[in-house]
Amino acid sequence: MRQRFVRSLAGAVAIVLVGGALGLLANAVSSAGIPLLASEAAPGTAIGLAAGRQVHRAGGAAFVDARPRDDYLAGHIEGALSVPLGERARELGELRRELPRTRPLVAYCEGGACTSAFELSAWLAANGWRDVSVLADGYPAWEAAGFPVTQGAAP
Amino acid sequence: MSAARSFGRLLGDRRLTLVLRLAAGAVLVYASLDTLLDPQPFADAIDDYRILPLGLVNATAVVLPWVELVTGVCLIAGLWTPGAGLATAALAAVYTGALTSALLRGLEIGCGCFGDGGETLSWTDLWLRLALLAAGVQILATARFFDWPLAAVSSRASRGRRATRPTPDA
Repeated sequence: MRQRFVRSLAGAVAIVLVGGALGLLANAVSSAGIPLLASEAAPGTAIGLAAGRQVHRAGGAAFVDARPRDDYLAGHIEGALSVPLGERARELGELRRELPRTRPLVAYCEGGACTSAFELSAWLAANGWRDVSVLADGYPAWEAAGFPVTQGAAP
Repeated sequence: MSAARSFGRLLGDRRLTLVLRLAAGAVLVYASLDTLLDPQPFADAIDDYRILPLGLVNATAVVLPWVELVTGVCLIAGLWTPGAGLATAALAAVYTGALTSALLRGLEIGCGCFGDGGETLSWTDLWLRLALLAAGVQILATARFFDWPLAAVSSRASRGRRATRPTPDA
């Protein structure tokens, strides 16, 4: 009886090891793979233009545009979602579906003295997102640096 | 007394083991499918329970669906079967504990089971986990290490090899 349990335990451990190895492998090769260590940042943590570009290129984070919708349509960071301050309450449900809360986010606005990205980051953090930093230089600096931008509504 | 004995016999019945293996295996494989290749929403669901530290959330979301899949496949195929029963019982015990803890804390979160996230967690979500736990224990106690259908296939193959092997004096 005891021997049977020990053999069962060995089998269960083997199953967990095989499953774990397959999971790590699949995560490493899948385009939907995630970092094994989730990140956390205090809301409003500012990052610079170079760090923002690095995060954008790596592709793990989502960019959120805190500016008014018209500004977003005129031009925004490639792949960014529009979350204007006035409409964010209405969009909470949709944001929850679209943006996993364990995925890092980078909020931005016009740069300079604009505060909407910081407000948005605090609001997102209060609603459960774990890692919301702010691209302190804002959209104008991003565009001036020649980093990827697009116009019009998100696909 | 005899009713208790026949109930005990029923619990140890290998046909019951087979039914439980296939049912529990199907549940585990189905549960794993949604999250296998898209772990981020599952990481969210795990994080919502506020049980694991954030540092362990992503790794758990990456590994757990694959452990479910391998366990389910082993149950259905009859490979390492008591070990798969033990893994099923352990997984079900962890889920039961997590759900109970969230319900007692009054968390209004999605179950995170079967890839859904729409409906709020309720006490009725516990039944399936408890049934899975009972099935896992029954399989652990009664299944053979190498069980039907794989055992049947391999024994047929070995019988076939014996039948076709030429005899030394032929």
